[in-house]
Amino acid sequence: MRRLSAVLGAALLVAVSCGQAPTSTGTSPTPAASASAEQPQAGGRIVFGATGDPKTMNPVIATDTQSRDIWDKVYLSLTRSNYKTGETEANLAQKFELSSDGLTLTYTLRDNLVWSDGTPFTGEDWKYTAEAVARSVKTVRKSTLQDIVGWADYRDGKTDSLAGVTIKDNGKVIEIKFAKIFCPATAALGGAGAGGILPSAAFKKVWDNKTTDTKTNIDDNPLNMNPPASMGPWVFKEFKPGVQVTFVKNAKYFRGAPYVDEFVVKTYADATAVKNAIVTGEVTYGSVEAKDYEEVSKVDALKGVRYRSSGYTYIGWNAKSAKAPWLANRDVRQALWYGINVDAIMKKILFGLGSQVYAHNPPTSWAYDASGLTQYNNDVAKAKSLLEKAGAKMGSDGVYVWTDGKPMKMTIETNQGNNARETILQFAQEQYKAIGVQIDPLLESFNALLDRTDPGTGFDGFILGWSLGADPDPYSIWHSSQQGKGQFNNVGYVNATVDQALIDNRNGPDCSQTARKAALKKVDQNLNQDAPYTFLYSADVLFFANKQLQGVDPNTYGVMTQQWNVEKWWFKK
Amino acid sequence: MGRFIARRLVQAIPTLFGVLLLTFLLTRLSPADPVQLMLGGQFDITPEDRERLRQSLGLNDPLPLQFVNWLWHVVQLDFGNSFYYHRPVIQMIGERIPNSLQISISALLITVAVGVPLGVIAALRRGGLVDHAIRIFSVSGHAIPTFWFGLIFVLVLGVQLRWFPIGSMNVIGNDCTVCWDRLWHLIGPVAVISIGGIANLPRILRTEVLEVISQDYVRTARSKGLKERVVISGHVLRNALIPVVTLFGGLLTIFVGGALVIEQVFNWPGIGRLTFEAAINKDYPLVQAGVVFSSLLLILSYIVRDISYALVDPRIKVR
Repeated sequence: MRRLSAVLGAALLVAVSCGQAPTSTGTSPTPAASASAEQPQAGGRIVFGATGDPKTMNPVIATDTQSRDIWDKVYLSLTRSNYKTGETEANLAQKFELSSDGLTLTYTLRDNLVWSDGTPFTGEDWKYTAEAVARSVKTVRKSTLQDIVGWADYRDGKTDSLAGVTIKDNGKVIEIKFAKIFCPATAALGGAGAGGILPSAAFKKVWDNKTTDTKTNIDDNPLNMNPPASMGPWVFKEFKPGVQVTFVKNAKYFRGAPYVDEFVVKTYADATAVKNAIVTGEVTYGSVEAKDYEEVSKVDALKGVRYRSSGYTYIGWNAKSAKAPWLANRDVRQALWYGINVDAIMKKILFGLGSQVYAHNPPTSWAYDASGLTQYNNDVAKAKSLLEKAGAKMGSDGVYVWTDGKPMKMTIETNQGNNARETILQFAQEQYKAIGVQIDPLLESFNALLDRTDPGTGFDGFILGWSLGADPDPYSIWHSSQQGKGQFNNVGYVNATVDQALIDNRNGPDCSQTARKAALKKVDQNLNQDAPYTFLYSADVLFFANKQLQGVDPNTYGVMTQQWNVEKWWFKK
Repeated sequence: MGRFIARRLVQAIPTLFGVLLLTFLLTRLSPADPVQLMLGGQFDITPEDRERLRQSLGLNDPLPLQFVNWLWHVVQLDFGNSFYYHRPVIQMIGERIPNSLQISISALLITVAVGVPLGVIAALRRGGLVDHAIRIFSVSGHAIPTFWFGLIFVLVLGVQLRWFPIGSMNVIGNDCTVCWDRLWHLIGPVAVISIGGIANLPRILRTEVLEVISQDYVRTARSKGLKERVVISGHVLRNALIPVVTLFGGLLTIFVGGALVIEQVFNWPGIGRLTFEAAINKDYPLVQAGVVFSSLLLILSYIVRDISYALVDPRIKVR
């Protein structure tokens, strides 16, 4: 046993030692090669590198990226996010409409949609998937659907059918009735809560949705690892654990069969192994970390595309901290923002490959509007004067003393092995010393960090990041009600104006983008001034593809949309 | 012989119980919550959803009850479903064991095939240039950590020179097991994992051979006119090999343990990489089963070692 843990230690060392950042500075991005006007050639195999096996191929119970990289090849949503703007656009549905009272959502499907096995695609597939979510024990997707009429009754087994969903016109029209207005509905419900719609004909054999027996569900059955039919560009062929998942092209794909014959998602041990595989040409396309960007840019056989991601990294300040009561003071939090040189951090970690953020909604979102936001440029004198304004007095050892007579010492914690966050922690420790605040760094495993920073009084500062969906709904992060165990307002943020704006954004009644943008602007302005986080940066996605691969045009909205036009990709021989 | 094996197997039961108890406790000792990790940074999850997931995994039961439940299932060879992959653990382990054995067995064969001749040559050429060269190789080979050698192999011979694949078992699209492609992919991990054994074996064998070679029966054999080759293989080696068999126990440990690191470096889908990833993911059932099976392999290999003692040295009676 002791031997095993020693070996484990050695293996961890491998992971860490692989991830050391080079000291050189970054270069400017390589522009994407312009799309070729030549005649596409058929054939070939696309290989994508994943860092781990899929945990399931059923979107209802999937919770991780590796699984999504598999199911998104076969199960689609009625709508999708535009690959550039993030706006909701038609996919399997040809149109979608929210009634003027915001309580009825209608999807109309495209004509002649068929699954890869020849079965017609109908609204019943959508309903089946939503009902599978309702009865699943393992799913974490229920909150998306909870405002549908009759939801609780079906979930609890009082009915054998979800009353608020009506399928009309031979399965071509799906009508969904809500108990209350839910502004993100159009974008959120296209995938029936799960994200991708299941083939009900095949899945009914393993779980029948027309039942009141809540003991049965879709959670454990062989089809979860063996997708029986596809609506996407690829059809599942084979899963070899630890090796790869293989797909072949779907001749019945509604946008047209792909030019390429095969799509392989190959499993690698870690991000460095994927980077090596991109360099040697084993992997056709994929993303690399900023520290590897320069090295990979030098490879002639690759073309690079750099685009913005929809997320950000931040330092959170717990206003409820027992050990650091000063974090409840707005001037102190602003001082902590002025006290750190975000520009220097970005140069060191991202080599300039990212953008600074000043509030919650990242530059990729339609809700983004940085006008009027304070930029908190690094200013030691200003930081100190804010601390003094808040009541702190300089102590004899160069550390400020808070109003309760205790020196301003606190902990900032983050997860070990994440090079970027470890570096931020080093910067914070050094730079906060200059403004008279002493930091004790704490590194721990990712899950220990998530555990420790659960809402409560036992932690001070922490470094984490958010990865956000295309439709902005930051209710669960910033609403004052979201401070229970396992909830996400763990910094103890309370602001009545923000609370109201978050509800306006979510439940309308005016769900127009203009109205929601105004509400979200209010959220961002308040967050920028209250500084519950020191908002840091949004890192760019650094994407590389084999030069022979034509037609690739990835953009911001998630891994899924790297392949938004995959059926048009082809290999130039 | 049959009784000996049976008795060794019965003796293995308390060892195995210890392994089971320790594995269970160690996986539970770390402070983090597997549910938290399963859900990662997703933010649209309600506490009720979270609690339901905990309940469904049996994580709310008291620890002793969790252990007894697990033990009862293990006895029936049911290791449960992986928290992460929602698949039967026994099936996942079963898929990986043949892959790991390919590396371990190849490494064992290579170690013997290279290490034994080197040891004998070093002894026969004692004090000569070859002896010194072998000793320098032994010391440095022993000092270099396996994972470092693996990383260098991948970076230099794989990524930069492109002489060898950077990992995996086959070229994509090729499924063969007994073929050049597989052999080609085996070279890296097997070379790296063998190097420790190859460095170790000659050192011990050299000392043994030198001791045996000065014995009276060797002189007798030589004086009755036997060919030197027969003297070495029939009289010297046979006696010198006994401590080497002892060493094999240790080698097997290195192969099982070292495979864990090497499979990670070479992206080899074996039981070591599976257990390593499961440990990172806090996938209790999978870590437990991985460790239990590795231990089982180890216990079995020690039994095999004890049996081979008897085969090499008839003086050791199997009782």
